[in-house]
Amino acid sequence: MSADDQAQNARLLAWGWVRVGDLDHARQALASGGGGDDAAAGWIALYQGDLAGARARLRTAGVPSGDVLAVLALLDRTRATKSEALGNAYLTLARGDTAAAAAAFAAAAPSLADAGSLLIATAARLYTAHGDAPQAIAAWKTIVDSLPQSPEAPEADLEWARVLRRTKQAPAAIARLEHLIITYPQSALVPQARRELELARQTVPSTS
Amino acid sequence: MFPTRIVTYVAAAALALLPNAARAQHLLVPMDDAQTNDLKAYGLTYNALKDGARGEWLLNYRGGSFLLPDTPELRRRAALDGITTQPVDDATLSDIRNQMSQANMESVPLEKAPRIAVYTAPYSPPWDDAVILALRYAGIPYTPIWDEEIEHGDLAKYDWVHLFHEDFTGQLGKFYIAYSGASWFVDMQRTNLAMAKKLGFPNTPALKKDVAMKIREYVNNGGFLFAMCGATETLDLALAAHDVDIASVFADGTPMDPNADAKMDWNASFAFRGAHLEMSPYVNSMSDIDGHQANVPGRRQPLGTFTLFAFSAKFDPVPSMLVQDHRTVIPDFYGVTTSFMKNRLKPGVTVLADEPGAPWAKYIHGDYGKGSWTFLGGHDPEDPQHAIGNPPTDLSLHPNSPGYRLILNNVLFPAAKKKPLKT
Repeated sequence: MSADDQAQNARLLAWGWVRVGDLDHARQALASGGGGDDAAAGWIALYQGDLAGARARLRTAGVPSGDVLAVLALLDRTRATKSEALGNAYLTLARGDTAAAAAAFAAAAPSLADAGSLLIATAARLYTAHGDAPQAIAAWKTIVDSLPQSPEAPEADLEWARVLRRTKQAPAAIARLEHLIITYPQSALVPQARRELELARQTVPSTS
Repeated sequence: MFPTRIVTYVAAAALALLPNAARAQHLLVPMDDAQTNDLKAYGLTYNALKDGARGEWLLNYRGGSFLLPDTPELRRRAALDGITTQPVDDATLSDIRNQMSQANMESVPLEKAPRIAVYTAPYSPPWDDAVILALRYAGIPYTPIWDEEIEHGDLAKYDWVHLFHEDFTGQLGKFYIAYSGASWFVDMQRTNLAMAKKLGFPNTPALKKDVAMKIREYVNNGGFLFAMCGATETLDLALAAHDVDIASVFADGTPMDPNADAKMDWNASFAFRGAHLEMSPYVNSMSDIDGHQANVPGRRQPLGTFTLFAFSAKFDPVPSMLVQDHRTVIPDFYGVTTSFMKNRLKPGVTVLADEPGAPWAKYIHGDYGKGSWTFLGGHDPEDPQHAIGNPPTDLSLHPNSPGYRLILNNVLFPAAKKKPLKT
């Protein structure tokens, strides 16, 4: 078996341990493959709440995937070096429990205030993906009401409006979209908000 | 690398508060290339008038700009709809007026939002209507009316009436040639006949003729009429055919009068004279008024471009209003009636746009009694070959459409207070 095959098998084995939540065995499995996989080591560090380790490993892990970029964007928003709550949230997500992961991201937000809005936004996106509109709206609402100066606030307005429109609450969706356009006129999301506004007002033919 | 299901982070937009600009006395709504949404600018102006504000239409100034009072509500509406506005103080406005006084420009006061009706059937035909699309997109309210309302005298309630793609000869666009079995055509046929019977007419052509005459009476009494596509040609045919059967056997059970051409009374029509009717029930054309004959293989003419005429804003404000645009050359578009042969136009008809070198006009206007009519050939300015069953045009993709601006010029021009001529 080549070294590459060994490393690949080690990654698969480690991933299996992650799926059952056993991070010690996951780390041992990864080490058995040579231990040179920065990306995998970075993820395991993240799951363990070692934000500094995760940051260092993932930054040097070669060409980053979309998921790695998303994690690095979050890690760059906080100065914290450790957070068991955040590690638990990512681990729960990796184990495939979307609803619990969403709750875990929301629960981690107060302890990582500098990235709080992004954690709540992540929770909201997961609730949306899971089809839980009330929880998604609650999360977006938290950002709009409590963190209006955060970078996620325009997105929160937009996504909140989209959930409202999908659930046939056009007047409420219109109010949110108008709030976004008036409050954040320089946001890159304004063109999307105007498009949603047209659809909510039924001034253009629906494309869905 | 471990797969996760993290939703990709959307880069957060830059934050900025609404500019807290000091209020000026006026808001200029430029209509040249600086305008980001020409079509909604008409809606902004219309709704300002509807809410009691007064405005001005600055003919030929920066594409036919509007001047509105500077209010927080108008700024808010403009921001929501992405409409470009520029605060203007009295000194700047004085400069603008000075500039206008020395050029072919004029200010027309806008005082009252016209009450708008759209003549449209209760069924949903498989084609769109450019005027309804424009009104909805611009946020201009309108009331749908049909034969029953017109027969009951409701036209008098409105300042401006648009005719949907009606065939006033009562032949339902001769769609029986290709669509006699289509459910939408069967529904159209049944609904029209039922309405005719309900209102005491023997058949659809008889009802439509009477409706056409009531529309003419409305214009005679001071109404503003706007028609596009087939409604233009067929309205005049129906008016001129008041004592002759021009409907094919499919429409009323009897064939056309073989001498119909000779019996047409062109004194009764708005725009056309001396036209020859299409006598064959199997040819999808009504007459030789239309220059393009889009639905007749062998006669169909290719599309070119049409050019808007320049009028004196100071001495001809009405045609000037109708041609305000940021483009003077516009791509042509087909319709059941695409264009109007110039040799069929009555003397006194104002040609607003034509295709240079071609024997047809595209956009015409005239007075009748105390009112006026305007005809625009073609179906959809942004869908030049709109076919039955095609999806409706999404105007958010064409917010600066010069063709759609012509439609909205018509909506707003009844709002203008006419000034006495200076000669």
